[in-house]
Amino acid sequence: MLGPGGVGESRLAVLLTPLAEPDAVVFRQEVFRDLALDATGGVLRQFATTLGQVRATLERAGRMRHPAERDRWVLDALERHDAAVASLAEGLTAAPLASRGVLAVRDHVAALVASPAFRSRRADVAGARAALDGVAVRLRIGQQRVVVSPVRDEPDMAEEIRSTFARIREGDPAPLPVDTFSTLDMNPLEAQILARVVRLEPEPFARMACTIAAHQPVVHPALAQIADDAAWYLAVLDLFVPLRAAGLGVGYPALAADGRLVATGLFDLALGRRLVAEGRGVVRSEVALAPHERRAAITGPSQGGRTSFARAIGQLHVLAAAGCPVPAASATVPLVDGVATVFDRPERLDDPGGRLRTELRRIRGLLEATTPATLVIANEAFASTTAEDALALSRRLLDAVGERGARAVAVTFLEELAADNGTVSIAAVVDPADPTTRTYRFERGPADGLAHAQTLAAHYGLGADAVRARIAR
Amino acid sequence: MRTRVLFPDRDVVLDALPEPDPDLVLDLELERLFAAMAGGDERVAGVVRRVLPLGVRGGPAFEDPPTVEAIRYRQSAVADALAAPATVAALYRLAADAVDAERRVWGGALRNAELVLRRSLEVLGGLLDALGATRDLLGSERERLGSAAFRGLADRLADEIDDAFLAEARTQLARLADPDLVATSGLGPGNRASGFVLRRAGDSRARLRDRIRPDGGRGLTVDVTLHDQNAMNALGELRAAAVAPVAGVVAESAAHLIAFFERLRDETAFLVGCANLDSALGAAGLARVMPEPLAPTETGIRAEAIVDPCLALAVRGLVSGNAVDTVGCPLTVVTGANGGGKSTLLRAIGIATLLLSAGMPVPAAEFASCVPDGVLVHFPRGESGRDDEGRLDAELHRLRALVGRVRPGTLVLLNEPLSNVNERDGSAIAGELVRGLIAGGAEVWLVTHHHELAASLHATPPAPTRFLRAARGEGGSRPYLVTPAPPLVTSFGTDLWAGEVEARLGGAPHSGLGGERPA
Repeated sequence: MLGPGGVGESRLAVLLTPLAEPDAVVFRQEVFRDLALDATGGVLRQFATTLGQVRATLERAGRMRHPAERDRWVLDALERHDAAVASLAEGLTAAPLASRGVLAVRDHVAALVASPAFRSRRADVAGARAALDGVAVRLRIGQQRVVVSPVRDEPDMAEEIRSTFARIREGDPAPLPVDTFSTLDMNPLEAQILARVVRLEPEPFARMACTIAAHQPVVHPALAQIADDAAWYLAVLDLFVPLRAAGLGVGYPALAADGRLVATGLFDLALGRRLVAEGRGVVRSEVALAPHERRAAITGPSQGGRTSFARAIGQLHVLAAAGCPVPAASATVPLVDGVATVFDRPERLDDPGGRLRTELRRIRGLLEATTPATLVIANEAFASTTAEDALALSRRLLDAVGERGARAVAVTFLEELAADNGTVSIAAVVDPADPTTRTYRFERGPADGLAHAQTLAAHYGLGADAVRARIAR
Repeated sequence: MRTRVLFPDRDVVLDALPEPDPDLVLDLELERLFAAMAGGDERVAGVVRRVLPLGVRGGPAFEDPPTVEAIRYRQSAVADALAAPATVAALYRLAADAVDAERRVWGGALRNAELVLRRSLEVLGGLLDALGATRDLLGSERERLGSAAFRGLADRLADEIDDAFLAEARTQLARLADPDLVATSGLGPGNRASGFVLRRAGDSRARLRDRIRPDGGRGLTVDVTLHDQNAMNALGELRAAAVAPVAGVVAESAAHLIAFFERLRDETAFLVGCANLDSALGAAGLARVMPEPLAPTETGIRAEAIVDPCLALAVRGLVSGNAVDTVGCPLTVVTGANGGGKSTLLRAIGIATLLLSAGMPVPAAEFASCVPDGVLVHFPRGESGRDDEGRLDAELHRLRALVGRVRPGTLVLLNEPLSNVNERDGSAIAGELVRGLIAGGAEVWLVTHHHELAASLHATPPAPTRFLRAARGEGGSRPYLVTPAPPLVTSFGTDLWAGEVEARLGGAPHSGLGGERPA
């Protein structure tokens, strides 16, 4: 489901690696669109979850010694697995599907469920299960002896006490937090008791053993692959769920063959998720760079959202190249072979003097791997040196990136960098009504230093109208 | 079983009550009040510090203001406690002892169901005895405890805890002492025995037969030898699993009874606190009156000879009361002399309102007030170690948090807000704040030195407003009287300087300063 080529082709190891072919991107976008619908995504999520549990159960059962215990786990696994396959088939048949990937899954599963072998397996398992459910015994538990016998008609003591004490109870009873059995698996005494139960009522246990012997293997490999692939798609979609719910646009980018970059409603995925979780608004920006504009500088006040804006641009390229949805309302993006980053990293304490050297070495390795299809993002590069040095080094870096035909975005406090020829300047937007507030929005325009004044009472929401509005909320 | 001693519609579960607002405790000096109520009993101290500031509020999370009915319900229970303090104290003792006895047998965190069952049986026996004793005490003191709260509790206990119930309960508990367990089970996950139901085995003859021919010779017996420790442990686990449902019911029943006694203990603890406070205020020679809650449509306060009880408890008899009438006025502005009793009056009003909301008597000759939706205070803070801008920032921060908690009907006591700022800015910010609060439906008492603020509120009041002024007594003495009067331009700091500083320094301007200053 991860690429053209049919069910079962696994690429789990390379999931966020940029795809080389535009059609591979489109293939995944189609699947994402199908799974983004609650009905379809829910069906596959349920299937993937259940199959994971079934596989874990079987693994555990394989280590068990007592047949009557082990076989029961296998029987339960069979039951859950087949029920999950049947509801997957049912759910996908009812779902409006458009993608090549999910349609292939639907056809595969529908054929399986319709087969006589599958139907008889389900019937056998259900019959065996019902027989076991009918087993009930009486245990007389002394201080050194347990006696198993058929059930008699004797009253439930808990019920008697509950009804006597009902008059003193108030509110909901809290469950009693006691441990009963210390082991997850059966202990030897329980196994001995179970052996007596088997002796008392042998038939249901014989039937269970026949049933599981007749229906191996429990999990078909192709179904396991479908579950794994679906889990990846759903994990990616889950990143975006709270953002969509908060009204943020999440789009599937078009690929720009000419290298242009256009995005609206762009935001930083990580920051957006945090702000939405805290119930706060997310500021979105636009970016538009023509095919020949291959070098941009982002300026603005500190803590004004520059790094997040740069991150958002990087995420846009990485996710688009992996065929994933992007944190933007709409986007046209070049298909990159990678995004290389120069982000300031906290330095090890034992190497204070070598910080610049380490950074330059990292950049050298980065430039060696840079191709015309690479995007380089630099965030306050060369912060360990003087501004003059940093400016010169940054120009060198951007020139080197340009010589390799790659595109570059630099976040910087060096406003000269934004004024260079051939560089597009993107600056933080200033609110003319209140220059003190940070807008966290960015637009193309010249870099200009921002003033900070304090209009405090208004800032704290203590004006008469604001106060009244808060009380009346 | 419900207690309903303090609220008509709920029992007090102490942990579920919100912590008191720390600003309220600090600025109104409530710790003194709590200490007088506790009378040295830590349990009472813990209860009153949560119950008093909360008031008789309603709603699932105490979000609704006290109703007049709820206040009257509480007032009559408090009146019982003031009239019969020994009886209420005996009830408190009985409940507290029942809970403490339980603690001794219960011990740590038991995880084995059979041990839980054995302990629960022990505990339940004692609790049933205490329950009978409580019923009997309330029955015999029926005449003295005439409030709806105590009458209701007495009736419920008389109805529900009859002798037949106590006998049946004890019989059932005795049955559970049999070491031979009989249970039924089915097959659970992995075919483990599960779904245990403990059964009452038939008569003694059937049980004897069970013992003699345990399995009818069909090889269905498992014997465990004492020295096989693993098997004995497994048998213990099996027994625990079999008794778990019954242990759950018994422990749950014990827990319910303990919870009942905890609630009864905490509710009567509050009443014990009310009786303690009443006798302390009486000993300080103060009048107390059960206040009259005004209908929700009213605003304002009417009081005669109202005093700050915390100050009275501290200085013993040196305080004189004020008369106040702000009925119909959502805004009260207090101006006037430094040391003229403005803060004291503000505290007295705040505390009296809290006492009213909690159904308690008020230290005044007469007190009637609307019932506010909570009391919020803003008093000056040191904001130490900050520069001017930092101090202002910190105060604005506090004010923003305060505004976030105001609701229509909240009583907001502002004591010299924005006094760290110059008069112009402070007046502007505070004026906006006060007008916003009034427009939002809050009730505001404002003490201020900012003349511009008082003058602007006087010139264009946002609502009917009462202006009070700390009076300047004859000859510069301070009688702590605050009377209706519009704001004056000047304050009386120079007077105070003359009285407090120069007067105490005596004739010689430099006496007491030693030889450091040139004569």
